[in-house]
Amino acid sequence: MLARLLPIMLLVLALTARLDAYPYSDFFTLEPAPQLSVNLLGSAIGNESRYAASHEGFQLEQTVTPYIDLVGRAAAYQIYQGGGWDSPLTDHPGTRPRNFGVFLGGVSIAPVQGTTFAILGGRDVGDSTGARIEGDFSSWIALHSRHPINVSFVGEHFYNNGLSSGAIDLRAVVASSRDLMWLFGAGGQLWGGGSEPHLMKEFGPALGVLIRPWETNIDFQAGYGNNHGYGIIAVSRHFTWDE
Amino acid sequence: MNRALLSLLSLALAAPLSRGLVFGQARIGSVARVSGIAFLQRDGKQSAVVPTMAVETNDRFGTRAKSSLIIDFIDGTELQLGESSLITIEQRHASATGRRASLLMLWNGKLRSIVKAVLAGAGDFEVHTPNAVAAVRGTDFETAFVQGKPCPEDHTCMRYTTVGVSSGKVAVSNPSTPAASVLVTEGYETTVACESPPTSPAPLGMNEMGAPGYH
Repeated sequence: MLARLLPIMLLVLALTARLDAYPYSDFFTLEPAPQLSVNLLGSAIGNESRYAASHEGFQLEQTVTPYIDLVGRAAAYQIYQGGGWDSPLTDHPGTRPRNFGVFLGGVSIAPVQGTTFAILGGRDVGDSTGARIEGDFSSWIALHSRHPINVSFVGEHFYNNGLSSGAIDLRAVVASSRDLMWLFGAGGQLWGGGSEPHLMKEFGPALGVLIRPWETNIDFQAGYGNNHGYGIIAVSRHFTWDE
Repeated sequence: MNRALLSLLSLALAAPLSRGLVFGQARIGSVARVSGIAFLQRDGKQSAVVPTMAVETNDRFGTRAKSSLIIDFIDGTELQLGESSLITIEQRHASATGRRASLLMLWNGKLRSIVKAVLAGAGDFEVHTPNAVAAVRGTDFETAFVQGKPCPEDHTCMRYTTVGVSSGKVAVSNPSTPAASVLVTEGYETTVACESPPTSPAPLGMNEMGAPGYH
């Protein structure tokens, strides 16, 4: 997966690294109005037959240039049973929940408006101790329309159990008002490698709502796959400070 | 002809004809709240802004960093001036029919305008920035004029205006391209970059929107 992401990243850097290139002449110029943002994250994953987990944590983003942010994330993971697309642990029939912390750092690049590409790396601490690497891609299509469409992909590799996974999401803004923005689409996960010899997959519809007064996103996805029915709910709250 | 210029022209022509009804230097509102440091420039003099202070036509209000100001007009319209912002209340006029028209110039920073719905109508309330005109068709909208920072729509442009609408409708145009007016409705916003026409309305806050995060 990383082998596929690397050429894309290099291409983006090659296209943007020319200091005299229009319109990226300020690509390496320090952001005149830097911002620090914090995203509080929490999610729960349930799978009909095999997997139950929850995560909570926060992500810090510091603007460096108009196009580049530094990113750091700390999260606590609880795996209650089984193994799934985002678990670095080998499935085992133990009775106690397994807990570990995830610490990641990296860089996020926004080569064009509405498109971000981030590469993060780090290590787990606790019941999982392996390294991990993550690549995030998100792009808004038809940004200036009543129904912009987001395409996103998150690729991960866990060195702890050798698993690689990809989460894909496609959704459109279906309604926007003063306080709420509703998004609807579909998403899914693919994973395999390491202790999972087969390519596993699950897909289903996705619903999201942004509650503007609270700067809070709630995302829900449910569907069906190799592990039968599943559901994911995620809540995030965003804070931004001008420096 | 440019609708904004037409509005200005009609206001300018109407003013002397209805001299008795023009508010002139009369009180047209008052300062409701000050947070931090705000200043008023009137008749060439500058003074600190304090609550209950009278607001008059041609007043210029400014705020420093981490400061804000709320002005209530007599008709119920509320202006919320954000930090490091500067506005001039250029017109406040009552015609023979009793209709009032307001023209506010936002020189820098962010201004939220909550206009009384009963007074809303074409040309009744306009916020101008150096490169955009926002004419109210409704009640609650926010205008921001940014200088010295690349516009998200066009990184070569270093001055731009954003207009976001919380309720009602606002017609937005660029005086450089007056024919290309965009009607922005509740929950949407537009950006005017330099001499370009306004962008098609997009949902509020799209520039800050990321992807769904499940972990």
